[in-house]
Amino acid sequence: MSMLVQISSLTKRYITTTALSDVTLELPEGHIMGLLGPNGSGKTTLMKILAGLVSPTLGTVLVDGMAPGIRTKAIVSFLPDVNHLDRWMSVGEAGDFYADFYLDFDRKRFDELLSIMGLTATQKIGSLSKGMVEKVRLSLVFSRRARLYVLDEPFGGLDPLARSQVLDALVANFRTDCSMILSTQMVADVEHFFDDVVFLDDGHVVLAGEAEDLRTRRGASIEDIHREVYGHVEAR
Amino acid sequence: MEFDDRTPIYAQIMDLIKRRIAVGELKVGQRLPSVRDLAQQVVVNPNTVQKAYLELEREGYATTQRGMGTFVSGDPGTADLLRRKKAQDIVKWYVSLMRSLGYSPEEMTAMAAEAAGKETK
Amino acid sequence: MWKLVRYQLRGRRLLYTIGLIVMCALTLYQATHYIGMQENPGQSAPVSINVPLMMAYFWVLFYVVMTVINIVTYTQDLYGDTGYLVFSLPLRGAEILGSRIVLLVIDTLMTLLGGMTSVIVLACLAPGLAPQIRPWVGRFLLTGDYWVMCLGVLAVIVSFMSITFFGVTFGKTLTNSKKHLGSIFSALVVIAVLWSSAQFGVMLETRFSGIHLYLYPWQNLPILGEGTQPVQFPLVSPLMFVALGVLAFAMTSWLMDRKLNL
Repeated sequence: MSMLVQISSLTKRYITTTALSDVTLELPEGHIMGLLGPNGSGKTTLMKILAGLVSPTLGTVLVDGMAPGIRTKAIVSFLPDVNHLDRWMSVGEAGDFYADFYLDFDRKRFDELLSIMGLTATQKIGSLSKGMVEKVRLSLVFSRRARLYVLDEPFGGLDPLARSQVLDALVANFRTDCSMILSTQMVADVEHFFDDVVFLDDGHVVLAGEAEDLRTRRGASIEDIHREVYGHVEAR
Repeated sequence: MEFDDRTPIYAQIMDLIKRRIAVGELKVGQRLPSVRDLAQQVVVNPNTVQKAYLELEREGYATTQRGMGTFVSGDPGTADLLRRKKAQDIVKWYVSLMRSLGYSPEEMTAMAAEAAGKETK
Repeated sequence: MWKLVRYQLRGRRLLYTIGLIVMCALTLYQATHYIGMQENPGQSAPVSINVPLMMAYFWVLFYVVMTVINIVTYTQDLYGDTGYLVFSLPLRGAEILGSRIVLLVIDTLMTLLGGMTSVIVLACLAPGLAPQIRPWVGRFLLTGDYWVMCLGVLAVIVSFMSITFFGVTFGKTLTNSKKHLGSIFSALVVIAVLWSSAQFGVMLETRFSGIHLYLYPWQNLPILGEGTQPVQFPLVSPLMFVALGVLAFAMTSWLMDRKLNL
């Protein structure tokens, strides 16, 4: 199986802090990876590195065999954990923007997703609620036929109903020639989607493996393992 | 569908399909839902459904024909066999639980017969 | 790059509309000073000259506001959430930075042309001044030296902004701080670069004190009374400044491609 993402000995240091230290992981094509860990464990930094927004200090990162840059940006669909859309844009203009810059953007699919999510193209981003903006952002990201989807807390601002809508759309659109890496705090809701899970703590990989394998070996759900791994963190 | 997240999801999907074969909901030669459809139906990762189908194939309960889909396979006795196996599993479970409560085999049979009698009334 | 410019212009349509309406209103308001004044040069000349001059100051203010907005938007791209949109695009750093520079040039040209229009309009309406100005308007706009001066100013302004952008970007490569640590650092870098280039500029000017640029921007506008006198401009330090601006552009693009920490 070919590896869409290969990260080896990745370290990211800032002047005062170390966000990631010696992270090594691989994501095969067609797999969905769950990136788990408490706030500040390095999930967001790792995802930004994959999206080409943060430069690594040490180690190598390859996305489809290429170091992050313009060519990987064209095949990576990134959802940041905060609203990245300009407030002046309308939903339709946001679609125009994506269509103009990303060759893999499928306008028809965007319109479909909008109608599933109950949105209209003329609404202004600035006038939408947090949950609605989240839906617009997810629609944009999933409308790209990208090779790698990097989703940082994709279900954060969504109510349970919207979450299941998004999950349905996610399963319906998932292709075997792409991979997905997503971080979430709501492990229980999405653990059925993970092929692989990576637990990060304080910039280190503390546990990684195939989800089903971990369930078999530990006789526990990913959520239980999550609680076990980070028990000490919450107790702090 | 509700999964028990402590055991592998693919095994539970296999179980679900075997159960359907056992009770006759799925017949030998019948086409199983496509991986994508089933994944959407039970809301899991398509790869997990794929794995369940592969395992079913390995155990001889399914065959995949290229471009056609996955079909229930086996001889006409397969359903009965699966039904028996399922029943045996349940009985085994019942027996072990009853034993842990200190019941003798005779008492177990008697209580099971009594309960079954009540059910039919 | 041009697509990005188009989107940024679209994002600013409201700002531009408001700005231009305000400037139009100000021009009209300034024109009301003439109401009731006589075409008596002796009596109205001071007012007549002051009104267009005042208007020119308003335009300078307008430009300062636009420049601040440009710096703030650029800083927001690096420190704010919308930067994820721009920097996730499959574009080179040079294209992203280039779009910002183009926007800046558009702002500057808008200010120059808008300012010229309203100042000339006011001057042509001014009692006492108008008869002297009107015949020269077309000719002074055709003066080559006038446009050389405008272009020179534009080049220096763009270089200044390019250096500022470099400082902001450099600060951002060092930290991941969404807070003020990086921006304080950015400001320090900007001040340091500008200060040292000013020192260097002064040094160059004393060294090459003989080299100057003599322009006759007003040669077709004898009303200003200096029609025959050339205006002396320094040449070496602006050239150095423009070179620094180009260097800053190249370095910023490189930082954006390789070293960014959004």
